[in-house]
Amino acid sequence: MVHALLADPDVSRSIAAAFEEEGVPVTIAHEAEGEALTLARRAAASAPGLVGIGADGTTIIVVLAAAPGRAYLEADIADARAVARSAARIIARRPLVDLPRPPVEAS
Amino acid sequence: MLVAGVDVGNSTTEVAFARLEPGREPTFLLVVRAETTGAKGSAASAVGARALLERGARRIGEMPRRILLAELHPVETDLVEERHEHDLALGRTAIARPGSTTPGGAGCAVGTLRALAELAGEPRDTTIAVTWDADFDHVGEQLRAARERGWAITGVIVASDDGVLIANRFDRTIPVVDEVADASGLPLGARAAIEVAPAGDTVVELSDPLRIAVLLGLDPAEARSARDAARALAGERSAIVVLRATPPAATRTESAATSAPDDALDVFRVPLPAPRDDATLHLRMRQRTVTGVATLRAIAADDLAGLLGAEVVGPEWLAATLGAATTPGAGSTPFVLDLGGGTVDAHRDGSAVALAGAGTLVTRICGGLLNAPPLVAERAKRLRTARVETPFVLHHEDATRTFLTAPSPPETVGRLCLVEPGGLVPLRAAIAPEVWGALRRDAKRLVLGANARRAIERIGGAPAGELVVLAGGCASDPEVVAAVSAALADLDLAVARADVLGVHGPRAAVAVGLVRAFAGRR
Repeated sequence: MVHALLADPDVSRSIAAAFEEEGVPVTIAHEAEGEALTLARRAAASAPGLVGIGADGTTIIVVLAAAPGRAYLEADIADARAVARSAARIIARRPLVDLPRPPVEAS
Repeated sequence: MLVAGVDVGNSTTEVAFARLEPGREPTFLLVVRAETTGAKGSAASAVGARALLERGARRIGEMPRRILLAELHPVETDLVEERHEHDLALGRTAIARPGSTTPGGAGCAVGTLRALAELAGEPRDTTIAVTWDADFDHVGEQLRAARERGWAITGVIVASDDGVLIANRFDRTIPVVDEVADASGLPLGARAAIEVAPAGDTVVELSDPLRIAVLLGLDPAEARSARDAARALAGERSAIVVLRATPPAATRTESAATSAPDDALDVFRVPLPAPRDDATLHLRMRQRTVTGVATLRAIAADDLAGLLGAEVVGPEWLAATLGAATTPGAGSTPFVLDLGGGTVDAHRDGSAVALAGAGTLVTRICGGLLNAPPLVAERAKRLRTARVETPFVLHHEDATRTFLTAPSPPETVGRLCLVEPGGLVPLRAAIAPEVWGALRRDAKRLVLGANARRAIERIGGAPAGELVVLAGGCASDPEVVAAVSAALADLDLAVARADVLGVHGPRAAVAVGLVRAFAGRR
């Protein structure tokens, strides 16, 4: 239902665990490089559930295929499991809990 | 001559400004409104009324020469929630609490609570393993190893949101209750029962006091005292009950019912409404009772008149009926039901009654049902709700769906939300929109419908076919008008909403009526 394209292989286990816990199917693919937003857009475009996840070395992003212009969820890569859980819950139609705050942009 | 009619209500103060000329109907210029400051008729309420007068005068550019008040019979209303769920008497069951909505495994298990680390030792009796280890792979590995060494593990309690992950790595046929944040604080060594229902279902063993008794070895007398524990878990997907090592010294510790003050004029009790088609939710709602108590205060309106430099032009019933009569098409309005914040008042020619329990009580009930603070409850009382099914789909109270052109914010997804003009406001309660809508309307029926009926009866009834006009802030809510109309349906009355001066809706009837009463006297 959800596709994840990861330029950071280390978060693969966290994302898989979040989807397993919520009982939502996910396919995870790895990319050699790419920014989280770009990867998430590509993932969303090909996901049956129209939800895509992209992650690079610093950030994890969820994009909705129907609103690809911007990140629907965005957080530091350390919060990968929480973000993935929310992405799974969008599909499962359950409330999103413990939403991580988006990373603070340097001014 | 510029005059101002001032209506100081329990919740709202309204001021109607009008210019009077001999031989002509008053020309109404402005109506202003603000929350009443302090108790109706008190010096504190005069402060707010004075500020409102000055605000209106600034807009008109002139202070009124006469300030008009009704004879006040101030009624103070108080609301008391008689009993909370915290008062549950659990008997020998020390802990009875729901688990998460995404637990792992399935079934019901009984055993002694033991920390996962303890399972490294020699096997002992039937065990429910408790773990606050963050690594689900590690937990699964340890559980498998313990079972191989001979431990009889019937269930698992986990601090983190890893119930499914651990069940998948250990045993999907036993219950794994997760998201028990204080798992490390559970009384290790105590006997416990846990249950996980299949997806979409609710616990059946731990919502039955006799089953709890059998599972935990309680005697028949103790089984009866497990009813609160069972009720607290009804409707949950997963649950835990832990047995106390020794029976509690005290028996049932239910809070005493609040008694009405000796000088109470009227007491109105109403339970939280409960959904008719959801027995488990119904049971839980029935654990709480909300009580409204009204007390007559001995503060004369003349005190207020002195403070404001105002004159009393007549009784409130006269002002209310004269004000409501400005509703287009009404002619005269011999019966007015004023649905306010604290009271439902019935006005008829020559008399009036005030009954405890109105809009504020409905707000309190909505807050109780939704577990929401007063400001949110006040909005929830009036606004429609919708559940955000997906970021783009809203599920409404009438079961229809609408689609959004931009995604709803993440914090609203999967939740019941207030549909505010500025956007969706998520609520904590996990109630379907259809169920909440029915509960909200029930609250209005139980309070305002019932009190409208009582008020008409107390005032001596109204003849069939007579017009009964609804005034006051609550009457601006179409659901309230429907509830009151339904409550009075068998009396064959023409129940209609006031539209004071054809522009103010059901508000400001008394303030406008005061001006009309004064003009009629001149």
